[in-house]
Amino acid sequence: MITRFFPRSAKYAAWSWLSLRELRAAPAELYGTALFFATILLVFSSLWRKAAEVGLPLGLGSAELVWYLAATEWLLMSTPNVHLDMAEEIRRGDVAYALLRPVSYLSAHCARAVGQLVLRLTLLAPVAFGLAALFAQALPARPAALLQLAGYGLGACCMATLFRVALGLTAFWLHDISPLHWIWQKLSFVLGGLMLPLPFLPEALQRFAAFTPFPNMLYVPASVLTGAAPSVTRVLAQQLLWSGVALVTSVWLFSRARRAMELNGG
Amino acid sequence: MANLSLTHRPRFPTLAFLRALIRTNLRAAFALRAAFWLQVVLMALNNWVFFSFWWLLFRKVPTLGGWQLGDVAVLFGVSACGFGLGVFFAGGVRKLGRSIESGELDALLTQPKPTLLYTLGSHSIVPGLGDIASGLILIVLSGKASLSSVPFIALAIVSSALVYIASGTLFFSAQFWFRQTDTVATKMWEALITFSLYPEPLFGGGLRLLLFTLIPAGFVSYIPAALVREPSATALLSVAVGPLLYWSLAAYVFRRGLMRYSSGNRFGSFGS
Amino acid sequence: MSSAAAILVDQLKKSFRVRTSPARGVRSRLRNLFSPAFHTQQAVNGISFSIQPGERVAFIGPNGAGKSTTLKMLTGILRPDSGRAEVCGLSPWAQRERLAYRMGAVFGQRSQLWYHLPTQDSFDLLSHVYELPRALYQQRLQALSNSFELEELRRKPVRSLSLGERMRCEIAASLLHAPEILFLDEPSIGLDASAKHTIRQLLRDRSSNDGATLLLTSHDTADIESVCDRVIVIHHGSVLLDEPVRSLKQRLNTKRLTLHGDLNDLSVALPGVSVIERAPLQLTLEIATQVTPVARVVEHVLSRANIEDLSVEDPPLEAVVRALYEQEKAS
Repeated sequence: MITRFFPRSAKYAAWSWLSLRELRAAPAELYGTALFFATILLVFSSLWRKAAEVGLPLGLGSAELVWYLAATEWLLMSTPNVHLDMAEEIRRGDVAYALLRPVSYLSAHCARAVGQLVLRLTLLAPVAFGLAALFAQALPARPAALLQLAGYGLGACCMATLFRVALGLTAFWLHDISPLHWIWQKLSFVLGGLMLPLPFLPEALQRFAAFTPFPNMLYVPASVLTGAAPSVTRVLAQQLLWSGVALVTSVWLFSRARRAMELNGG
Repeated sequence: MANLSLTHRPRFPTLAFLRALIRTNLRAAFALRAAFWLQVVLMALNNWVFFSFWWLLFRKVPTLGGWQLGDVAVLFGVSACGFGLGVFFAGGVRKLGRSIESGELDALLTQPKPTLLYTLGSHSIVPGLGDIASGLILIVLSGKASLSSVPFIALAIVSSALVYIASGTLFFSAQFWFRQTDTVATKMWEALITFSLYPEPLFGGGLRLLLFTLIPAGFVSYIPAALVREPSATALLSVAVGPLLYWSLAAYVFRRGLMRYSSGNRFGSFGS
Repeated sequence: MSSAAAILVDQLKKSFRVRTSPARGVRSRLRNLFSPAFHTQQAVNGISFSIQPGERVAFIGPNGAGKSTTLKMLTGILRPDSGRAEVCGLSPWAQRERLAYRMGAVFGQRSQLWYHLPTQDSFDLLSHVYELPRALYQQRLQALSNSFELEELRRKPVRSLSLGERMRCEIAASLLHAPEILFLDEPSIGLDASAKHTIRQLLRDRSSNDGATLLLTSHDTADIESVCDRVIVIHHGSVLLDEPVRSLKQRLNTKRLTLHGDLNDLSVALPGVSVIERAPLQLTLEIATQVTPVARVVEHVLSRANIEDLSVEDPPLEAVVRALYEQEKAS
């Protein structure tokens, strides 16, 4: 599949471009997301400021935690729900038609999702960081950390997207993937450190989380804003490793699905 | 043949109708048994995952603005129970915008019963039961409630549910005047839920005003939770204010909305 | 009801303010966002008619003619701009709740029944909506169940019913409280031929039995022919025609002659005669009776072919209505 990607890159670029048009057609969703950001950053900035009065643990400041939250939410909300789209497609039976197209189903979805991802990251960045600056009333201690965040974040989101693609493929067997979607989402909230950096978790849970991809999705990239300084090689290695896992799983699931469809005639 | 005799009508017909409506609504909710319990359980789990944030935080931070974990648990629990109760019995509120837009109200308008209650009670959001269950457990485990609190808990939850549904009615009734307000209304609805889950001392003056007016998180969780934590006469009275205020407003706005609906300037949904 | 009209409509008018779609181009789109342009669409432009109790009237017209709008005004859903209407002596929009007890409404594209529940549950709820005494409700339900053949359907959830079965249940549901007037908006839309036939028969029988007044809108002129005695044709928001079905059909001064037999490529070269349908053993001709009397055509045909059977009929309503629209367009 990967070897097919390059000669057909034009086709896949078109898929990415498609997502731009789609997004232009849904400005309401963007405003909604902006409102959501405003709400939670408002709430959490108050919360962290109050908590700072009694002394925050881990030597963190309230502003840092607000920026942290803005970062994790930025990454989370930018990752497209490709698994839900795929599940809907599969449920409707549009897949058979899609499989007929001379474009690998998986590659097309990945390309499209990445296109959406990049677009959302770009559009949501000023929203998330503007509001963070507003509510935290401060900029991050190391503004350069934002660039690090962007870099690590992009990799993290691509990895997360690949996992979602794998999740979406389970729709071939599961009538309704929303329970699975929920569980995955909650795990990424807790073990990914959505609202609280991972060191807040009990020791045992932190150790357990280290064996899952979740910390890499949100905590690792966002932690640069709370003073952590993970080495580039470590971060990239982890992201590549887990992306590989997701990719292999997707390919395997897809080939199983293809075979099942051929046997049963869809 | 003349119309059926209108004597021998049931006494308290509106009450009989509401009872029948609730019964039918619940039956419809239970009809999809396969997904039913799964949704309930997942919703309960969902709430506990969100509550775990507080559990983790309070392990490191002893109190927050005078609040402890138990206080937050009561707040969370009351809000969850009120929300669950509201959307389980009056789940039609969530679809109100869409019902107005699609003309689904027409069928109800041709029937001789109050349209608002009818449309609210025509749908049930099953995961609401999960909210109720998780909320109750949180209240019990909070350590701030005892056996004698039970009547107050009940009042608090009912008050919360009433304000939730009235607020939802207000938000989604915007569809009578502006098309495609569903997103904004939904965001306000979600903001209401979000704000209701965070302790009052967090919010400064301006925001607090908002939370007792436009987005009444105050009436949905703070005031009812206060009744549970420290029952008093004032608390009892306060718990009645929210429902009265917001329901009067909701009924008024909906009635005006129906008048606008019947002017038909939402033309375009169905051909003439 | 006494001899007073069941439905009285006097110069009803209704227009809608519709947002004008902006032209292409960013500038006009922006302008439209901040100061939208509206134009007025006159949906109903002074309709008047009256319907006596027990009459079965059809309301037909092309899309956008004002049928559904009029129906919505008569059921109290919409308020007119001007004009008067009385249904069972009540003003639909001013006295909507009182009227609701005495009328029934069936919308072809919308359901009154709860989707996931057996229809029985919807019926039970409706008995409370209309405040029917228990015994009376049971009696009525049984009678409707018998004539609509709902015994088996009652226990099945609505989502598992075919469209035809669902429609039967919808109509039965609307008759539970024995309304004096039944409004139907496109009741047979989407139904297959046999389902349509069943519905039409049921409507006709039921209204004869109960003496209910029927007012139905439809695109299907066959609905009109089988169910209704009178037809009101609406076009561009006004009444084009209001007369008994029979006389409407005679308007065109045409007859249809259907021949069966060994026709041997029979050709009928008479003025005013055109071929509607031709098959090896069947031929249908349309005869403009003013030009050539039917008898002449029959004579001509009998002498030129082996005719086994023939029939003479009025043209289908559809043709009549189409001709009417064309006349209207031309004028």
